[in-house]
Amino acid sequence: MTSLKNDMRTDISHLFLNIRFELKKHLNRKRIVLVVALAIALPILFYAIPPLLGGDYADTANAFASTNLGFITLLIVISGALFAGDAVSGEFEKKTGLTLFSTPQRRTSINVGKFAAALLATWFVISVYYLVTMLEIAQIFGFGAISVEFGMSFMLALIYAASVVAVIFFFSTIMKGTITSTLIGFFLLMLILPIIAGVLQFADVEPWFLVTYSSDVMTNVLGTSTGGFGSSGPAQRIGGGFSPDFYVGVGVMLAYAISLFLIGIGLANRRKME
Amino acid sequence: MMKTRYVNTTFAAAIAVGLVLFAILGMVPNASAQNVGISGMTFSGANPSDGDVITISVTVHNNATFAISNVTLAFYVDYVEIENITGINLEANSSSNQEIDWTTESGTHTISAMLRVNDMPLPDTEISSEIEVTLGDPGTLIGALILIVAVVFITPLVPSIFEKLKGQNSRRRE
Repeated sequence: MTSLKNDMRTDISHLFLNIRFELKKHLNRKRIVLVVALAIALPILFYAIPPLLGGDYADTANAFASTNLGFITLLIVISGALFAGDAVSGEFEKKTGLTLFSTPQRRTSINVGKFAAALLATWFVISVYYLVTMLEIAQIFGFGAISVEFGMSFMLALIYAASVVAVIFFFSTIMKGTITSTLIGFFLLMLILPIIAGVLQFADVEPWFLVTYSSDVMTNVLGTSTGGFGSSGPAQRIGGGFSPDFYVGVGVMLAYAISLFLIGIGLANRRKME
Repeated sequence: MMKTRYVNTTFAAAIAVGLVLFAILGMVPNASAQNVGISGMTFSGANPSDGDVITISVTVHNNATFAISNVTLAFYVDYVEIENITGINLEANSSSNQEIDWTTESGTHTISAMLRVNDMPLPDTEISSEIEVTLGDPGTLIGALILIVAVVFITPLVPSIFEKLKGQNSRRRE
């Protein structure tokens, strides 16, 4: 029993060692700085442009947040691609795995460390984006206007980020080149899956099983309504297509995150240096 | 002189007839608007969640001394009509409770109701109320995040546990 406890303690210490190592790599390669700069600049654009063009902000804090978070999906996919795209494939392409895999630690600890570092870095970027948006809401509408729904949207973004990192990490474990694994994951999430979702919706089929479709709950949870008699008509309400169910959406994101993470770790552990 | 008096009398009569006609024509909608109205909009659920079916109830009243028939009550969500109740008949000085069921959608919505007589809306009868429909619950999200973190941190321990169960003591790293 004691030896199991010691083994587990060693596994955990190796895991944290790998997470620290991977995060340092991301810092040294300026990846975190680049994406954090994006995470600060994008919400600032939504804050600065309306007054500059003589426009008004949205009427409510949630409506403002909903507009502001228009690019959060893109930012999550960019972060996931940058941090997880070459996590495993990079070790094989650059042959750095020869030295890394021969260290006295389990492959599981190494690979999970890579995944966890990519996930933490992506979560950090999302947190910055939401923090900047929150400060803007506080400045425009007051701190009291920050709603529970905004917090829920933040948690949904973290869950979606886990599924995005898992998808890209999975491709990193099966692809040989870093560029291929990064691009396949990026285009799958930004282009292919949204197109499939669009086609299915056009055919009157709800694409509830696609993770990109489920990501809509991040902004849907903020739920806003506008208008008045005469300012909107039924035509604006028709043709909106499907809207993901909250619980199904969370379930789908969880399923992608956990299943692809576990499959990815299994594949990465079995992969051999050529 | 006679001609001038005749013109004045005709002119006065025309104005009088015009005023009477104006009063008669204008009386119908004014009477409806002033005597018929909607009050007391209520919802069956205080804090509904997305997808819940709630009942929207209103009271239609007729304060006039005459009966009114064939009134239509229209319900709107965010100023888009979702349902109407036709053929409402009200006796003099009476009221009637009317309700519809609505499947909620997340967000803050303005629920309105308005009366129509002969397909003519009576804007003075509009009654509105806001309702906040929540989407999901924070507990589910916290649980999901804990699950993700748990899976990520438990996975590296699995090989050690399996080795222990199989009775293997040798570790590759040792």
